[in-house]
Amino acid sequence: MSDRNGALLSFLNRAREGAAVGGARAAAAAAVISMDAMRVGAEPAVIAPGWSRDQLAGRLVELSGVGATAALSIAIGLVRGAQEQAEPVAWIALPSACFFPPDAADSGIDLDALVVVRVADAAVAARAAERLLRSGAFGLIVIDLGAETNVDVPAAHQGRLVTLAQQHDAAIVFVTEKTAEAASLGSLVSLRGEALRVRRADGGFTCQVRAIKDKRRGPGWAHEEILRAPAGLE
Amino acid sequence: MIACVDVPALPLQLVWRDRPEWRALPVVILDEDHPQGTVLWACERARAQRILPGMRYAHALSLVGGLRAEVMAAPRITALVDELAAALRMCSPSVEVARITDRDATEGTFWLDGAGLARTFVDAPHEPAGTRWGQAIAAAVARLGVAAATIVGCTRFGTYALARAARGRGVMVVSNDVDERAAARQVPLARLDVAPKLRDALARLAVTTVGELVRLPAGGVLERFGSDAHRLYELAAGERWDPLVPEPPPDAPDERVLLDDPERDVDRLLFSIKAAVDRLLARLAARHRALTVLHLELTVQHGVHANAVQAVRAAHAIRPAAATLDGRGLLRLVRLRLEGAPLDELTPASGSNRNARSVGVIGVRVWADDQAATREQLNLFAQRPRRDLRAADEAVARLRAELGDDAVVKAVVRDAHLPEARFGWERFGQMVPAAPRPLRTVAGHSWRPLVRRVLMRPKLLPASSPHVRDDGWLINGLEHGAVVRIHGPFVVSGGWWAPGAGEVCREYHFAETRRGECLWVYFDRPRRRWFQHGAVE
Repeated sequence: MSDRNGALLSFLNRAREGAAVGGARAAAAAAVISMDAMRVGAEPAVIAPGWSRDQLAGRLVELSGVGATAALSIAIGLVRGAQEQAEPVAWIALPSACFFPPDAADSGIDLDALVVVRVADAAVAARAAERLLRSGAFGLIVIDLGAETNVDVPAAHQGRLVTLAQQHDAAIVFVTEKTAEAASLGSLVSLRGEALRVRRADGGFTCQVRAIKDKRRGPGWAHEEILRAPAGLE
Repeated sequence: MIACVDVPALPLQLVWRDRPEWRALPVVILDEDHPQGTVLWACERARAQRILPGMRYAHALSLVGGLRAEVMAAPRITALVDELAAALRMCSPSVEVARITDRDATEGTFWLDGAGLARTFVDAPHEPAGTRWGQAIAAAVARLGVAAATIVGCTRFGTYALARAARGRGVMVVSNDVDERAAARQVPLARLDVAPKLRDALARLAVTTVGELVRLPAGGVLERFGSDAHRLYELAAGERWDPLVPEPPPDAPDERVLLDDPERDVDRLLFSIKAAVDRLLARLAARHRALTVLHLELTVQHGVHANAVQAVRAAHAIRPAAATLDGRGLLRLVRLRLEGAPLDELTPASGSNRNARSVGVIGVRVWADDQAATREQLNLFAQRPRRDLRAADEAVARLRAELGDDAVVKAVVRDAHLPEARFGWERFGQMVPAAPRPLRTVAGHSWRPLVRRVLMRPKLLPASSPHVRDDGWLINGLEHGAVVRIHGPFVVSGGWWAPGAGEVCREYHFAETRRGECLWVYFDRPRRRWFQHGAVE
């Protein structure tokens, strides 16, 4: 019943707004809302924060953590979500370390459809991501910089990555190892999340992404997933 | 006034709609495409050649060489049911749809509430009330290429029983309750969705019609045949309250985009709008709808000072020449509209910031007015994948040329014991559509596992004395803290059967440090040294 009332209310509001707006050029001024209301989510046009490829599309995202981090597992979850949506995915990694493929396969990922690019450093990684994005064929690119210290992705590269991500509705996720207090990769990073894991009583782990920087919805929100331990860690 | 629409043999009708040339041939619907698959539905031509539901496909084929068969996927049936429900909502705002989980009816049965529609569907003076409404319903269903029976009557059960008896033909209007009940009592129980066991038990007592059932004593039916039979009895006798339970219509889909920074450039703004429009069209296509009007709402920021910032909504309605699912054509219209309506013309209608200049668009919302899509539109939409895998292959080839053949790879999992032997890297060939696998259930949960990061070259760790290992082993330097908990050992050994191959004997552990890290380490027994092989991240 409440759904129907909501739909009716929405229809009436739309009709009312349409009547007030009149001609398209004079669109102006139908409704004035405060920016504060938009930011805190009291206004219905605000999208609820979430952690999915669709929510991250068109953005530069940095996922980081130290200690009890779950950044890699969360990123693998994004890959799985993208594959479920038939979005091609690429994983760009440094040669020293990578995700453990049997764990990724155990997470349901189709490894045959996951392009893995091994690069020498962060700048080459950004350039490789740019090439892949430019094709418009990829929906998600994960740049796994792992424990690499002094990561430097030039601002020019970041700017091009953002433009291409918006142009092709793709998400770019950097996985880094740093504390929440450390600065993000750059000012063009739209969302920075800290990924942490906490052991549960039933043997699983609660993995949480906490937004510490979000240009669109403001920081502070969190996303949680429950994961199980790999064999031997139960 | 209630109308019941019954679409008999829905899966067969779906097949005939997609393949009209099969109407002249014997057709069956199977549960799986396998010789041992079971026939679920058989058309009259197949039945005439002794093919019956429940038979194996191989058996049916042995009876009729030219038999046509199709496996009917539940999503296709659900899509047709949704399509029918959407068409019926044009005839009444309250439509109840029998879903597969319903107790009383199978998919393909719909009820419509006709209360208050007499002024919309006006009958001629000589016609029974509801005639024009019934005809409108029948026409709406026929437009979808489906044969159905439409009964306009007074009760949910009465119209349902008569619709099932009509076997998918015509429109019938029953103007009063007494006539409806009398007609419904002639309906054989075999026409209703009565459990076969109950139907056979009643048949042994010579109870084969609804009328014969309601002549039985109510208490006896409950006692001898159980609650389901009693429920049927009460419905047939009109002793049970049986209201219509309409489904709310699906929400009109909308898509929203929030921008990081205010955007004034039309080209860049179009990229954001394109993503939202593409998603909107995909959702419409999934519901077999095509867009007739694209509503675009831009949220424009005014003012740059924190205490004087306001957002103004600008609404645009963009009408393509015909209903469409073509995103490119729509975006051309959007570009023309945006170029013709500069953001500077938007000003707040009220407030202290009326003279503030617009800074740029910070949010986009799109939604659509829609109508049923033609099959050609849907086919064109379905044939055009969202991502071009050939473009992905070309990008991979360029990367390979730049970084070397071995830089672009895919992981392969192998059956082995040693962690480094359990996977390998192969040169990436061609991009294929991903087929993610369902998650394994472990201890009753379908959770993903935590993923380990594996070091390509295991890292030598400082030696530790076993007696201080659990309470003071600084495994990775001071900043990581001491090991507080260790899980293991899990022994992996190999190579001992092949002289000269080098024996491998490792004791794997998970070592948790004070800082929270969970390192994946092993003790190499032949070398008597500790190594880090990775970490759980």
